[in-house]
Amino acid sequence: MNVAIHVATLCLLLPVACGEGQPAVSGIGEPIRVTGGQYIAGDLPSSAGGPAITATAFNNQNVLLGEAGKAISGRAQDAAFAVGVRFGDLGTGYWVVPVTEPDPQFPGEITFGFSADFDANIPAGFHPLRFVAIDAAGHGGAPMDTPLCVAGRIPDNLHACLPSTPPPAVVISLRWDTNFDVDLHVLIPSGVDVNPKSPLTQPMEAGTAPDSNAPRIDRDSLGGCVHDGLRQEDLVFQTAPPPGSYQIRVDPFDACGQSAVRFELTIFKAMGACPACSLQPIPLPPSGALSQAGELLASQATGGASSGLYVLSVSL
Amino acid sequence: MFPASAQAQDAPPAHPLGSEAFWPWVLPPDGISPGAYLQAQYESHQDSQDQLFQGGAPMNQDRFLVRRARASFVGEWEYAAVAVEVDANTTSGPVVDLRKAEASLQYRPDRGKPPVIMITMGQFDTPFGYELVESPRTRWFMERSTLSRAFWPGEPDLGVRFAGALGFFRWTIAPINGEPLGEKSPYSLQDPNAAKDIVFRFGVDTTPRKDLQIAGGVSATRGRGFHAGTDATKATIRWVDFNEDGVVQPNELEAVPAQAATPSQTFDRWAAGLDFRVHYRSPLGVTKVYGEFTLAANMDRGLFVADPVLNSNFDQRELGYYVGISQEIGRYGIVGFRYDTYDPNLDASDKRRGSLHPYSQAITTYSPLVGVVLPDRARLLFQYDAVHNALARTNIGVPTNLQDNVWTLRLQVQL
Repeated sequence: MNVAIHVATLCLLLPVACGEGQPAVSGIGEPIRVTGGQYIAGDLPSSAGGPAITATAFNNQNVLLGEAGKAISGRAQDAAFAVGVRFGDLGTGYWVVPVTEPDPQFPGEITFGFSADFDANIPAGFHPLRFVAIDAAGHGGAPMDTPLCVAGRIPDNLHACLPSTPPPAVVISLRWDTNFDVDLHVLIPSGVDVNPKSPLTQPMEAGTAPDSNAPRIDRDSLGGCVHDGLRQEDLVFQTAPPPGSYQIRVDPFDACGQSAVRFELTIFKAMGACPACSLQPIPLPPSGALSQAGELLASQATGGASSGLYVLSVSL
Repeated sequence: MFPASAQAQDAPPAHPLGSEAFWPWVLPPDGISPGAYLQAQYESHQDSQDQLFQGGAPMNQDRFLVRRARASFVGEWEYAAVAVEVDANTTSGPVVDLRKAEASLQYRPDRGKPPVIMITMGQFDTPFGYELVESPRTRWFMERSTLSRAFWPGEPDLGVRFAGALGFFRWTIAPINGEPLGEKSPYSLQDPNAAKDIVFRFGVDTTPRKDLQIAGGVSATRGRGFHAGTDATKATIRWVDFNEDGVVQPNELEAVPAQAATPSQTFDRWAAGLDFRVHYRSPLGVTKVYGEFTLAANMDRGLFVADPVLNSNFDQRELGYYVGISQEIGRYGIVGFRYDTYDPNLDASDKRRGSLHPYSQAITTYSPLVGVVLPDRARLLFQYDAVHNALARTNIGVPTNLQDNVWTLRLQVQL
């Protein structure tokens, strides 16, 4: 109704201004967000004889989970006024950034550059980042696709991009929904309580570095109530975990000013033979559901005085 | 801030045509008079989204709110006067604050006219131009013009005001802190520098015929803005992920040495303005035409905040004006229209293709308004603000309008 009132009133009273300008859409729900760029809904300008993109440059073609501030630059033919960018297979619109300076090293070309943020829920795997140069009349040139390997929400050693690289054997993943410092605790068969403050399954000699394949919890999300934007902790076993019962607890360490938190626990196992293998959620006892959810209140915050709420025991 | 006792529901307003409900020109009855009004409204913004800004403030502005709930009392005696007004609102969450706290000495030999001289100390509306001191209770349009809100995010400031009326001549001189309520700094209603802003207004207010009132004036202010220095810091280590692989490497650890405190600085700012207003009473009702023109440097404290210290000491030159008209339709109707434009930086340029292109950052607002009125008791108003700005870009990267029109439906009831 609000939109209708805006359109009707504006068109009735000020017909010359009706519909003029860009809609105020932040593009925050898009898989890619360009700092300082203008979001425009819809497809990139179609190829209509406009200037071409001549080069793109990245530090690397990997996109970390929810990565922010990835530097992207490139060059276009000199007729370009702006560059539009979006994922070729994701999202609902594109971003426009003006080109910056003629490139003295490449006569007839003009540079562009921006930094981009990426949504943490982009499906893992390669996605084409599509660039189109746009001339003064708004005509787009031929699109240029550059594949980016986007890391998934569940750590998979970039298996989605490189099928020959096997994913971890098992990932115990805990996610939650508010800025609450929740810790994943897993009591492994050897009796060790693995948690973000003690993230390894085996003690480590002083002065040595842990084996990169050693099972570990990947982060202390919201540790010290410092936001990390993820609200997720994963215990990753690169190789098959020792057989036995694994008792899983969820510790509401610090409420961080929140009143409650809802969490979801999922266990993923590598299935199939690589390169056709993949991480799949496994049924959890006792119900056989693929995930176990729960809720904790601020009054239950432990400050680390206990291992928290018992969730389930599972044999891996 | 008219006292309830001065008004009657069915009688014509007790005040003469064009008489304004702001001090020092208000004519309250002797003794203590209470006053109150409440403005509740629904507003819809074209730029609302169901998201949050960085930091958590909501992008959505389609909402009900209490814009102003104000209670006041005015004390008027032979040689002294006092005014206190408290405001509660939910504009940015529930807030209660002091809007006016005026203690005055005055010489007002003719009780039917404004004081010949009045000296006020305390918190009062900055006496620059007309719109800034016009009471939101009597103003038909929902808010002040864009320039006024940018220069003075809130009307009140603290200081001393000298004012007087001699026949049709009006004058006001006010040294004030220069940190008005609502400005985007930690020093609102405080003062981080010793220099005081001086505000002048010299004008006329005359009623050549019983059905015509003409007023206008020139205003000026000059003062010093404040650029805050920084605290001393301790040494830290910072990680910059140069190769964007998410892994800490030794060459990605940077030492950030301890930093010495940096001194604060002040800068010059000024504004000059012209204002006029005409009231004409016809059989249809009162017609009011009014406007204001302001030229300034470094005065923006609420929208495109000016700080020439950060800008190589280049002054941020600002220009704005508005023209408004309102027409009563009998006793129970009102229509109005206001055109308002504000350019926050006359020297703005946009860098494209390696060169600087001058462009206008002006924000222009067309505001038609209609309403129904219960005289001196209530009003139901609808206003549409068609806003044109340069906050977005076209698909070739050129600044263009960001659609952020607003409509507001407001119900006001007053004592």
